[in-house]
Amino acid sequence: MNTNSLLEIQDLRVSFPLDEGTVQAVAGVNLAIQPGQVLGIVGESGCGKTVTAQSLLRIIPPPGRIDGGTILFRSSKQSGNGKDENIVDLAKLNPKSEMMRRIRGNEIAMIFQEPMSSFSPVHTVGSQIMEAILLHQDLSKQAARERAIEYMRLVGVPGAQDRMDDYPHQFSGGMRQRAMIAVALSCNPSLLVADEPTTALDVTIQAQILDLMRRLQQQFGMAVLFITHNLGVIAQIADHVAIMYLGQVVEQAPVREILRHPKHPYTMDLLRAVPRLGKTAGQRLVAIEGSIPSPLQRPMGCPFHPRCSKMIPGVCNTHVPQWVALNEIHSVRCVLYEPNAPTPNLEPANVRAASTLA
Amino acid sequence: MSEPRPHLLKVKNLKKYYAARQGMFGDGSGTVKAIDGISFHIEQGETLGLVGESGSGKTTTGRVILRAVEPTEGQVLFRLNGGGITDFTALPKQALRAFRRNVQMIFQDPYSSLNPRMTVRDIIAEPLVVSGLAKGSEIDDRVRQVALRCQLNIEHLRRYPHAFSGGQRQRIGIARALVVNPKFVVCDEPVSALDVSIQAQILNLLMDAQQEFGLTYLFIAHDLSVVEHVSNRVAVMYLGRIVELAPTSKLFYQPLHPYTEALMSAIPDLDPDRMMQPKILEGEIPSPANPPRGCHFHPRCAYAQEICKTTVPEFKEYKPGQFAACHFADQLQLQGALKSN
Amino acid sequence: MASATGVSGRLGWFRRAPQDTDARDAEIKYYTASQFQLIWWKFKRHRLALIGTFILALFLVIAVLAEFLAPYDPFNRNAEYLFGPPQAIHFFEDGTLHAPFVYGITFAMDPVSFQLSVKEDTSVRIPLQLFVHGDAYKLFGIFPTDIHLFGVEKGFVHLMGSDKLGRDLFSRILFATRISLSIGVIGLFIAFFLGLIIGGISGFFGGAIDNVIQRFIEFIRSIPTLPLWMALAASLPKEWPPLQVYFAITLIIGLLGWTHLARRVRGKLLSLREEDYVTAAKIAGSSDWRIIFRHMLPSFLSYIIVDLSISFPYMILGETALSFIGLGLRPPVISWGVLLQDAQNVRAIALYPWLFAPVAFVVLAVLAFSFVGDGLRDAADPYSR
Ligand SMILES: Nc1ncnc2c1ncn2[C@@H]1O[C@H](COP(=O)(O)OP(=O)(O)O)[C@@H](O)[C@H]1O
Ligand SMILES: Nc1ncnc2c1ncn2[C@@H]1O[C@H](COP(=O)(O)OP(=O)(O)O)[C@@H](O)[C@H]1O
Ligand code: SF4
Ligand SMILES: [Mg+2]
Ligand SMILES: [Mg+2]
Repeated sequence: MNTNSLLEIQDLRVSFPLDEGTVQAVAGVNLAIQPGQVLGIVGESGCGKTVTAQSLLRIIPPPGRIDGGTILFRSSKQSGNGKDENIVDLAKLNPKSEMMRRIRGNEIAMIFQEPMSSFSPVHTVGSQIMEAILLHQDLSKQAARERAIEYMRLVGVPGAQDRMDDYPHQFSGGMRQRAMIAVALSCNPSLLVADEPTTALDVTIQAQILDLMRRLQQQFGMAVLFITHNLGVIAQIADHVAIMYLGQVVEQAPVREILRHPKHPYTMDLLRAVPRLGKTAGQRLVAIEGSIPSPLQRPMGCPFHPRCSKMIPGVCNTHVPQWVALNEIHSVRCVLYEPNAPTPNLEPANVRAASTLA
Repeated sequence: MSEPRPHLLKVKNLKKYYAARQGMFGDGSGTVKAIDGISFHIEQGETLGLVGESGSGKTTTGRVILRAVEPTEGQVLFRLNGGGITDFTALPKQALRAFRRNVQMIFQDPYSSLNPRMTVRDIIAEPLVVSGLAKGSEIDDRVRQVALRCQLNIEHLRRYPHAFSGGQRQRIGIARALVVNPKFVVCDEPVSALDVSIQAQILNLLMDAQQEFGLTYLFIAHDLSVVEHVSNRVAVMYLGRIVELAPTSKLFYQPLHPYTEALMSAIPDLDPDRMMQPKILEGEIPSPANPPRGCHFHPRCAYAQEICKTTVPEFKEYKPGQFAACHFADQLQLQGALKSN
Repeated sequence: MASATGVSGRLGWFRRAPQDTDARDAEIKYYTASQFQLIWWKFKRHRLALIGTFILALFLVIAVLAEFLAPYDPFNRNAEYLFGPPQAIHFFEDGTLHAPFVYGITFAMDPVSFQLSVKEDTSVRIPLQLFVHGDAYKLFGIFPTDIHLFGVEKGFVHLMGSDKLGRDLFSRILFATRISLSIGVIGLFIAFFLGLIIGGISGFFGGAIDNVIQRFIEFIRSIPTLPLWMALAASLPKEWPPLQVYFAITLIIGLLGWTHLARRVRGKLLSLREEDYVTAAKIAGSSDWRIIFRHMLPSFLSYIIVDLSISFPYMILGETALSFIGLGLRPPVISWGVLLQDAQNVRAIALYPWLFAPVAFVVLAVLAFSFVGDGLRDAADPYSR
């Protein structure tokens, strides 16, 4: 593990064995997050963003299972005699173990797209925040209530004092998202995993939540794994970006680097395919042709090759590209950047297979 | 600016109220003013974008215009091919059904918009069959023709919708809308439910079809970049009213209404160095069952004055082609999403 | 809303053939499959439901062919064998295999309790035979014949014992199956008809009509079912002939079952009205008639079938309960509930436990319907995401 990474995922593989075949939800993900960094994960639906996040917390729904890879996490919790750091492989922990529960509660927190599902509808929002606080901090009930109000103010719930005793359904979508952030912050995590926290919100509310998260991230100094499918949101909040396609991270780099000098053909095509204010009005967009393959029928070789404009027949459709570091900050998974990629194997069968798939 | 084109559609003071299901016993206290007196026109061959937050009444507007739901009040007038004016809202049942071949709709949800129990061929053919525009083998010919135009594999026409992905389903929905050669199409968030890489395909298809068949669109969306991409003019809705309507180029550079400004400031820009400076709107969009008095926007408006709390601002033309409903539209200097240089 | 997960996600329950070309064929078959094919494929994967279907099919055969399947006329009294226990079918004697047979019966008086006890007489072997001539009947009420599926030529065979008049319980249960199931079917039909009409009116027109109907349904549903049934059944004149009672009871059971169906029909109609494809049809200029028959009816047909299969057990249990307490059908009509009237006291339980055999049939029927209902419910919407 890199000396200062907070989290390093290597070649993570997660699959769901279903009746009709095995879904490779995560098929070799590589990621690294530094402490205090915001890493954005972008990708289209079904590419494995949520399952990757679930693997960190070991909350993959059945029948999903981790088939391989490591998730190294720098666990550093204040103990009796000072700070106490050690590196754990979350992929190897028992999801129900004491250690995993402690990490889940105290060091890694998660917020979801639909906050309603993570609140109990029969308890007040305030009492649920208090409960989270009492779980992590040794406080009296009264003090916990005060702390909860403080957190509600911090996340910008207006009239925090009065809204403590409201039920989740009395909160609007944006307010619920704020309340969930309050719960997540209550354990002062070193890593916050945010799975599409603004996708269900209107732009004006999304802007508020992004603003809030940026502020809190700086204030608390935590690292954030921010999942979204919106490139604009990523540009606004992330320091580093990982682009996912069909269960793999195909490119990771600092946000400016990736938006200005994308290396992977998928990243390039994606950036060209989105309408941009003031730039594309009235013009045709450069669309990525074809559709996302079913996860049950992963293409051979590079998963993107059937849709790729730079596909090399005989290579891309037969050889699985390796994860290549172009420099310390930019890595990519594409044969175009692989120093010793195989030479095209132009046997007619391969070429034909490539063209029919495309 | 292109020279003015004839108006295809004119909407006058359109309203749609729903009985609100409120209170413990669902005793319908009050009404939801889903749309509350909107007026605008659409020129032949243009795309009018319609934006606003969810619940602002965009879908209702689209549906009332096509009389998928009946308006509470107001008029929808069509003038096809520069011919006579048809009062669509006043058409009796038979005439209405006959007129419907001219207007079509494309839906947001690619799943709920296709009857899962009909084959793709039957889905696309339905408008043709019920309008009696084609008979027998003509129907199949025409279906194949539009299906091809929408880049569907015509060998798949025998299949049922469950065989298709979201993007392909949306193509089926577009083929169904185009099969009768309509003049006017309401596109209700046609790409909102699609993945980014598929959105571009559908947007291209819609824009190509518009060129090819001279279509006029009412294009509803909540994504402002998409709206800017496709629209000639844009209307901004807030709580059932249009607060601003202007040519796209004007609106994105120099909005006249504070809500438009706030909306634009919230667009997450693709350039990380142009950090958005959202005009953080106070609170959230109020319930349309109980909208604020005066200007609906005043509780969240950074520029609100006393008058805003009591008097409804008039929706009127402040600059050529630029309409707004704000007491201070001609005084405020507002920021758009784009800067002219 | 994932386009990627779209197809595969809903292929979820569809097994893929292993080979490539087979896979393609299978895929095309799946993609061009109609609603009922999809439902059937999905249903087939529900093992319990399949078992339930099999049992129901068996019941159906019994109901149709009771005369032929039963070895005796249900009113045929065997004076030699009152309250006789079931006779076991044997295949072996002295370790050698035989065609199935039963033993003859001898009686012995217990010298202390003076109870007559029944013993197998292993010296008399009575072979079971197929297609024997027995009591005369008319097949389907038309063709006179006296052939029974199985029976014995001399002596007698009572697989489930006999009742106090020496009537063959097995035969009587087969005939009861017909009556009990037919009550269920007709009751359900009445309930279905009412539910569809009233629920349809409620859901299609909405507004004030809807409101009135809904309040009325709530009122009916707030009355506890069993007492209401009892009250209605008890009010039937005692002097009515059994056939009339039969129809009255069917009507009562049907009349009280429709509320649930009406609610479901209404709910489904209301939600269907909101489906975008219904709006699309309307915008295309489809007539109301076309919208109802082409778009709405096919999609709630499957739900209605599910509801019917789930309501069925209640109908059967209702009849059984009423007849058991003497308020429902009366002899000489034979139903499961009527048969169980003989097993109403502790003495019967202790001395003639076989009189409870009809319970097994009731349980089996109810379970089978529940399994089928379960399977149908899972399969009814093959398009769910
Ligand atoms: N509980 C599950 N059961 C079966 N397959 C699943 C489950 N969760 C996710 N998957 C599959 O894993 C893949 C990745 O899903 P997910 O991580 O949710 O995608 P994303 O969050 O990027 O949209 C998808 O193909 C999906 O079908
Ligand atoms: N059938 C209906 N019954 C009652 N209220 C409705 C109905 N349809 C829409 N509304 C209400 O009208 C308002 C506008 O809705 P809609 O037109 O769907 O907004 P948008 O498309 O902009 O999100 C919302 O508050 C919504 O709750
Ligand atoms: S009228 Fe007043 S409240 Fe409304 S937008 Fe203009 S300034 Fe704001
Ligand atoms: Mg997800
Ligand atoms: Mg809408």
